[in-house]
Amino acid sequence: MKAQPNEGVANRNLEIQKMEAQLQAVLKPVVPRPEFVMDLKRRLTNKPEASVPIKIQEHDILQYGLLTAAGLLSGTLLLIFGVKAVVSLLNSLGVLQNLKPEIGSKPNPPMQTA
Amino acid sequence: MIRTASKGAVLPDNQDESLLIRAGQGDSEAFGVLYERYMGRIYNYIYYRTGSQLDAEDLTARVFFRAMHHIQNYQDRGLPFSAWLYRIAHNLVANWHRDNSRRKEIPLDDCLLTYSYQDAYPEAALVQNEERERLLRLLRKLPAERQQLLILKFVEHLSNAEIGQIMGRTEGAVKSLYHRTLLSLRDELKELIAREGSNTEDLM
Repeated sequence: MKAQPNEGVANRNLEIQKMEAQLQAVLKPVVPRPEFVMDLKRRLTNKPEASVPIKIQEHDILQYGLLTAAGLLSGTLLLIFGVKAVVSLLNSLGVLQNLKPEIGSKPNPPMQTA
Repeated sequence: MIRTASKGAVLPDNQDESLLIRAGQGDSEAFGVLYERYMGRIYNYIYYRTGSQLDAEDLTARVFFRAMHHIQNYQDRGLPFSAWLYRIAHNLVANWHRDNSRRKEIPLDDCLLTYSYQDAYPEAALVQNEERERLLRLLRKLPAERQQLLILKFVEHLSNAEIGQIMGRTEGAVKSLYHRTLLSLRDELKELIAREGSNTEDLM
């Protein structure tokens, strides 16, 4: 019997076609949930508030100026009171009294010889 | 600008160019258009790679958030924008498989059973569903590249030239890989059917 060299190739092509048909039947496009699609788009395209350009108006400048001044003033007062508190604490511990010269004290008289 | 692939196939102009420029400059509306254009394709790719609708939604969202955060770094290297998205999806799916490697079987969603005559012919529908399940299981055991090829071919109906652009291969290489993949799948399927047949006989 004569060998049919193309028979193997034909069989293989047939099997490939069969495989393709099976894959075509199985691999069909899947439609995602519309709610998911819309929700994801909203999340992707929703601009966060920080990225919105802030327009500074004139009355805002005055407001910021007053706030800054108030901040500086309160900071200064805090500093003053803080220093006073520290000085008072040191005074009560007697640290400062040892350092300060005595007020109104007379200088030591020179030694008298007999 | 019309770009020609190898073997003279003419591909459509890159209509995404202006959108990509605007999206790179922070235009979220432009990115939204890109999202609408490619979302379905990326979702399908991930769905068939994972077999789960929930995971497909989660990973699809991650793909587009990642794309959005890195869009300003995107450079047109003559490849379609979808190739970049598919690359991101591929990496995320690979990570997902690594993280879920303990799972022996990836469950198929019930929505895969789409035959409308299942109520009238439940036995036939069951057999068809089993065949489909078997084939999908085999598909997901293929190397990632081969899975991508089959999904792009059968789900997206892309040509070899278009697939080659996405996968970074020539048209001839895609054709060759495609044939090898089909023959490999055929052999695996025969083996699986034979194994299942012998298991059934053992049970009897």
